[in-house]
Amino acid sequence: MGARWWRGLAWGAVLLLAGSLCGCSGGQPKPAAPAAPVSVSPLDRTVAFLPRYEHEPPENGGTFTMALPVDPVTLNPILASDRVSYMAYKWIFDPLIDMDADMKPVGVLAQSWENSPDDRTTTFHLRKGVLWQDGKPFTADDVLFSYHAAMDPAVDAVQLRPAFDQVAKVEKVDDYTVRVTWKEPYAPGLSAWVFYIIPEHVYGYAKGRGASFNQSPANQAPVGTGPFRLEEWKRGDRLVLTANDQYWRGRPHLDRLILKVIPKGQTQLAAYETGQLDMAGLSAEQWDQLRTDPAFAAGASIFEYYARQFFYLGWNMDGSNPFFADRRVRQAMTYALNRQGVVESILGGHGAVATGPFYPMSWSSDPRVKPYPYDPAKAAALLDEAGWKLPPGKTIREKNGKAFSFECLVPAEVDMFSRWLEVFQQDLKRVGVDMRIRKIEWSAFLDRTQRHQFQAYLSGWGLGDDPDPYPLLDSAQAKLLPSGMAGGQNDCSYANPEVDRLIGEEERTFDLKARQPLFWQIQRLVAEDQPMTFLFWPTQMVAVKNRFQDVRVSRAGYGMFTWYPSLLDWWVPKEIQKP
Amino acid sequence: MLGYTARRLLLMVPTLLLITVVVFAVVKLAPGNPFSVLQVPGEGPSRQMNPEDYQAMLHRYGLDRPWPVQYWRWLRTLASGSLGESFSQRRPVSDVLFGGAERAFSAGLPPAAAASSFLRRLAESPFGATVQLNLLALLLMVAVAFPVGLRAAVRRGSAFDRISSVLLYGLYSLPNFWVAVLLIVLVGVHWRLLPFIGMHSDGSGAMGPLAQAWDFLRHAALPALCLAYGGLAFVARFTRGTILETLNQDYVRTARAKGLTERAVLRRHAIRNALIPLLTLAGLLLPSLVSGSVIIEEIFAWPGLGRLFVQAIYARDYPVILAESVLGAVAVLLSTLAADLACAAADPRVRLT
Repeated sequence: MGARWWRGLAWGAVLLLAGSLCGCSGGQPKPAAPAAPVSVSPLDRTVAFLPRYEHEPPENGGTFTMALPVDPVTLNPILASDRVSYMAYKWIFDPLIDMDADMKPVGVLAQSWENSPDDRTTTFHLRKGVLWQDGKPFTADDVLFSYHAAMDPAVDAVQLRPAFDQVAKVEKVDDYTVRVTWKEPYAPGLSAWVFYIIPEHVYGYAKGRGASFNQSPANQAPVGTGPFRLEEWKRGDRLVLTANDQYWRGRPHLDRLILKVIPKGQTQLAAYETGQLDMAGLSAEQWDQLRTDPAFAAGASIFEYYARQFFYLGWNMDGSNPFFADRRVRQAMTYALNRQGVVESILGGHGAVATGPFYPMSWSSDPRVKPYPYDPAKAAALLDEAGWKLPPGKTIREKNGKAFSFECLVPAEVDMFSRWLEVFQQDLKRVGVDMRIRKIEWSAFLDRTQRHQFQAYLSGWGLGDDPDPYPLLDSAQAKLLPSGMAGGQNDCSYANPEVDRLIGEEERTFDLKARQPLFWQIQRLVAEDQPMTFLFWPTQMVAVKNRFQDVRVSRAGYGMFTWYPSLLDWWVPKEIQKP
Repeated sequence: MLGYTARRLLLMVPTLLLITVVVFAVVKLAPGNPFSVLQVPGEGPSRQMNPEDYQAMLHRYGLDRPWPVQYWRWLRTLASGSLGESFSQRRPVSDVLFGGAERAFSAGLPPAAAASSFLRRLAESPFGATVQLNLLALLLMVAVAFPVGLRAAVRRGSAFDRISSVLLYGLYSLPNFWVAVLLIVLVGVHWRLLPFIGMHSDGSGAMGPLAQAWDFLRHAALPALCLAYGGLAFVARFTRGTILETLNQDYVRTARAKGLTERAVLRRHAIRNALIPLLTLAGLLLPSLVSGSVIIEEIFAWPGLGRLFVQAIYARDYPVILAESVLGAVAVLLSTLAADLACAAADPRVRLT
């Protein structure tokens, strides 16, 4: 009854003003046939809704349409620094190497590579017979050109250059061999070569003319070696990519890839439901609502996987505040926060409490390190021990007449952060600690944290391709420059000589078996020190139309596409292909 | 009249300058710069920059200078007839805003082809997207509100007057982001009557011009509706008030007394005299043509100026922010002027000196 009344009203409102425009395409009936979820495994929670097609081999054809939240900035991989541009150019260009579904390096434009016995040089053997999309052959010169362009101070690739800090020189041995010499043996260095190669003959520029590279017309009309080529880019609206028949690996099965610029949220999901998108991210609420909705489930495969990032509360321990330089206080903070509670109540169970900065599914994370339990009594005892006592008749702890009241910065753009903090605020109040939440805009937030002008903050950390924790944890990364800006990213000013030593050692250890125990040791020390309260590893949920076959997510935290070959293996059976 | 117009146009220059100084200062006071925001909120700095390298880049673009110096440089660029280069998109701001439409004339095409290429590029630019959408919304608003206001004035105190007033104020009080989502869910998803994403369907390039226009109208229907309904109350009540005022004038009573029909009274005397305040109202509404609605454009993925503006603010893309501000300011100043001139033309008693 209620629902009918409500529809009538909405109808009326629509008819009143827009009636004449609606006419021509009638409503289509929704697919019926509810299907039950087949399997939900706890880790890679893939809910596959059958039928699956058992064709052998896969068939070519079909279009995959996905959303980008904003327009890409550029399609030049050397200049791009944002994720959205990456999601577009990565189909057009190939990197030298990439990471596979298990987080292990795999050759793309490099067929193979090897280190010299002293680990001072790495030699890449390039694939022969690879063609640029304009028909010219790909050679070592293109690799050298891309590297030199990225390192040219006049080129706006500031965000790319630190990855090559340890590279002494890059040389061409012959047309299909490139030798990299390292300043010193550096195990994380290989991951820098997940580096997209651009053609010299398209971008070629005179030495010292980097500005012309920054403004090159090819930034909007790219020529790559990648699996797709750019057919059309309507700014602010869509990019249309078509399969590259010349691709060295064989053409991708899909004919076309359409990237539509659609803001996140309700619109994306609505576009997915009406078939205008083939993939949509789901929030926890949407997931709960939709996985039991038969109409939705009938056409979808739903995936859940860990995002390769964690969230944390950073405590400033540079001595500028009287609270967090004391390890016991930091431990108390972690004991006082009900992290599991937030995972269950706000994340809807879509995440795991973090124990440290290493991805829980990878070799670098020690499974024996357990998260601090939620234990307010323990937190109170630790605070008492640290001298923060609760004066009679008061609710906030004090030490030397100073109340335990601090300010926590949080980027205002991320709604979820503030919701977590509100819970944590109550948790802390329970142990006699007052936390004030200060929402500020993102670039203001960056400015304050990079100048170390904060007491605590909530943010996230995205992992690189190598788990090296140097930027986050090494004391050398805590120094401020004369300008007042941080020289590194250890904003919390964490300094533990033993951790510094272990990081130095791990960076010189190439053998995974020898490297692993070093990471485990670092993790244990950090868990004791709690330079930050590691909050959780959230999971991401994605629905993909189930006409796509062989859709896989990487269990190693790479999600849908940030690994190789991902989308290139997808295909659609002929009888259900859409143009 | 000509002298008056010239003087008004001249007076616009200092006003515009003042506006740009304020905008520039506010934008510059916000922390960060185009290159400090190379990171995504909440995703953390997965890459770091070398500080000297970073300083060198700031220097290259003059961003290490005090803001008055930067402002002066921007003014010089403006004086040379260019809006500058966008930092984030690395192409001229005129390309970003207007799709590089002006280049259609320098491509050596015959005039007719150049003009049509110009219009097509402009229509597909963020500027064109916003103007088309807002024009549609404005037409929709006036087309509904004016007759309603007129009828309400003529039948003052009637059931129609009261009900329409309640309804329109009811609409006015509905937040448009909520209505937008509601319309998407009902009209777009549930009934599948209208598209709700972007300006065109897939493959609209292959359609004939009429089909294309129809396709565009269908895409614009929901966002235009969301932009229009909130203003209905305002315009309808304004119309009603103005007409009522003229209906109480002596000359209307005279007209009635000499035996004119009510219709003729209304058409020849009341409406015509009510035109002047309505023209002023149009002057107030016109600038909204180029002020993209951030929320509606975002929800309906409409590639217009509003979305661009928000992105430019997040990216600290100063040249784009300034260009849009100037565009908005010019629109306000010009339409106020146009409204004044139109009033003078409509009413011989208004003398512009």
